[in-house]
Amino acid sequence: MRGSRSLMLALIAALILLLTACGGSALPTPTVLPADSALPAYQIAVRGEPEPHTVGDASLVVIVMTGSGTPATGLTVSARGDMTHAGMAPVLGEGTEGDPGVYTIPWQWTMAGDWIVDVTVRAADGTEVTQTVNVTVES
Amino acid sequence: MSAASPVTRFDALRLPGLRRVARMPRGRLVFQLPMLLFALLLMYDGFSGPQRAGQNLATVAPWVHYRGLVVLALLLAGNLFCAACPFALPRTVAHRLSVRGRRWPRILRGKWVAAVSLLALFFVYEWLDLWASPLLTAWLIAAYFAAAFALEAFFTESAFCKYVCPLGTFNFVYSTASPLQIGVRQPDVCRTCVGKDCINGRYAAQPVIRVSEITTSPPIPVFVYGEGAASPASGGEVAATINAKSFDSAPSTQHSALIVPGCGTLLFPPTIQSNLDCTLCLDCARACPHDNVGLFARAPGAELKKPNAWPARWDVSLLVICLAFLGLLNAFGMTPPVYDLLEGLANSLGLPGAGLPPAAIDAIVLGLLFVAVGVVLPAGLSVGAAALSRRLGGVSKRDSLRHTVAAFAPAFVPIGLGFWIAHYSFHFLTGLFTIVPVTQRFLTDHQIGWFGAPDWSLGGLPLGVVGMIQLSALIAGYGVSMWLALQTAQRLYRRNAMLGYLAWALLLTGLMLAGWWLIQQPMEMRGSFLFD
Repeated sequence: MRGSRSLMLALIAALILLLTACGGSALPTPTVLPADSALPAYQIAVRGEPEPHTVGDASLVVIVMTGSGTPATGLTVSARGDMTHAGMAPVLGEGTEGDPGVYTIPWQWTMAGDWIVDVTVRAADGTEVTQTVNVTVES
Repeated sequence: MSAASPVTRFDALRLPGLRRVARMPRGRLVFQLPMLLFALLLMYDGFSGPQRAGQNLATVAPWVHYRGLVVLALLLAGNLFCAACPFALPRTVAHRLSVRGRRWPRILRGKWVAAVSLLALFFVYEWLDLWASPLLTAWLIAAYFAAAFALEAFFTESAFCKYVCPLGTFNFVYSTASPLQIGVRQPDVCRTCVGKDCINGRYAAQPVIRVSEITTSPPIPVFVYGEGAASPASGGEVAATINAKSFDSAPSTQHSALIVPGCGTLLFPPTIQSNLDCTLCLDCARACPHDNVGLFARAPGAELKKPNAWPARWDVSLLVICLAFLGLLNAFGMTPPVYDLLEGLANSLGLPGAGLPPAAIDAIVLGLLFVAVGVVLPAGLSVGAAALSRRLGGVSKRDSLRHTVAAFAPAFVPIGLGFWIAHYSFHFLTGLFTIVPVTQRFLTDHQIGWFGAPDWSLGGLPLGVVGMIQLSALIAGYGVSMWLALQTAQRLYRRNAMLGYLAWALLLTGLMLAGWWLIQQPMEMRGSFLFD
């Protein structure tokens, strides 16, 4: 009797582990792009100023080139910065174009630590490209 | 049990809603089911949602809001989160299977396993940056369900809650500072209670049972059996008959015919001196056939100044003291000096050039830090303080080191709770409203537009306000700890009280200064391996 009970418990425990393991295989592919990925429509370079990055006011300088290597003008450029730690409001910003293909986004690093910044470029024809960069901000 | 008059203090179980829940055979489900659904939701979002910690319910709800609410609940009410624990639900199913199973091994019936599991949880949290990973947090929740089920399936008592659960262990320790405690209304009722259902559990064979004496006039039926006549149906002679009408009118109470478990952690309500091990599940109140169990108000932390409220055991004492140090260490992990320390430690050991992967280097240096600051330092300092206070107090021959450490261990609860409140309230209050856009994000991702698009501008309270709250928690905890240690020294050392107090006062003051220094440090929310 005890043996059959132990067997039943072992089967249930194995089933739980199997089910939870199955859950992992259904994970979606991450949607963010790695920082060094080659983008077909635009090539985006992001630079934070001032460097090194410290808490306080800053700006993100986004340089966008077309696939043929010419400055991409007339785009809408925005950025969103999330801390890797949960519980911090993200920082959002919109860029303005200065020199052709160079967009400046007023920015603020609100907390020291690790940030993930998504820079999104939208063209009038609906093309949208997002570049993700990782930034460590010092106190 | 000594003879005592009925308790007249405020009893939370007399409040209409709670009273009803405490009497319902499945009353705990009222709290557990929402928490279970919430835990499943977190797992779902953790596995399938965006893998950004700030955008996922699996990371925001547990690491920002749950922890903040836990410490506040412990301070203001009691161990509410164990009461509503969703992990106890599959545990309950498992428990049904293991009623005739083994007891938890005697050698493990202490707090050593729980202390190690708590240390392991904090270590894994830092090592794998759980706060930054919805996926790993979801796996942690799944592992919790599996562990609770497995342990309860193989052992009879609530072994997971009492001997293993790291979250429950944290709650047990700091619920000793809470203003509510399970007790009994009339101790004399327990003295004459035969079944002790509050601890043994109860099974009512039928849904209506009589709770007061059934009249014997007219006479109750008495069957006289001859040899071989084992039941009335098989031929007992009826010597008298019952008056059915009077039986029906006897006072009765409604009960489920299903089993009502007794206390899973084996606490007997009339003898409870401490909230240690109490999950506030209220099973004792449900099982009591005399409606004699209450949840009474007391001075917050009243048990901390009661001699002998806690067992004088190394495992309990060191758990409490180490947990205060771990409160500091956990916060230290968010400040810039920790990175310099870990890098220096790794370099001094020659780890970067040893060909080890970054995660392994992280694990080694973090493990060393945890063992040193979370175990060796508190154990060494508290034993040293005990030796010094015994000597200066003039009682070296009377009190053992174990008894001295146990006597002063409760003084580490307020300062430890102060550290944890300071740390957890930082995340909770600075991210107070971030749960709103994350919930909006989840709903809109699933085509539910009830609350509109996520408003990512919602954050929390200003850092200046949060800093004031942190300092207040730290100072209040330190003040109460110093007072408790003084009370203990006066009780143990009488005329030499101040001398015996000195070592503990220095230790507590050192802890407070370390906490003060930490709060002044700029916080860095790192979420990546140090040795990439």
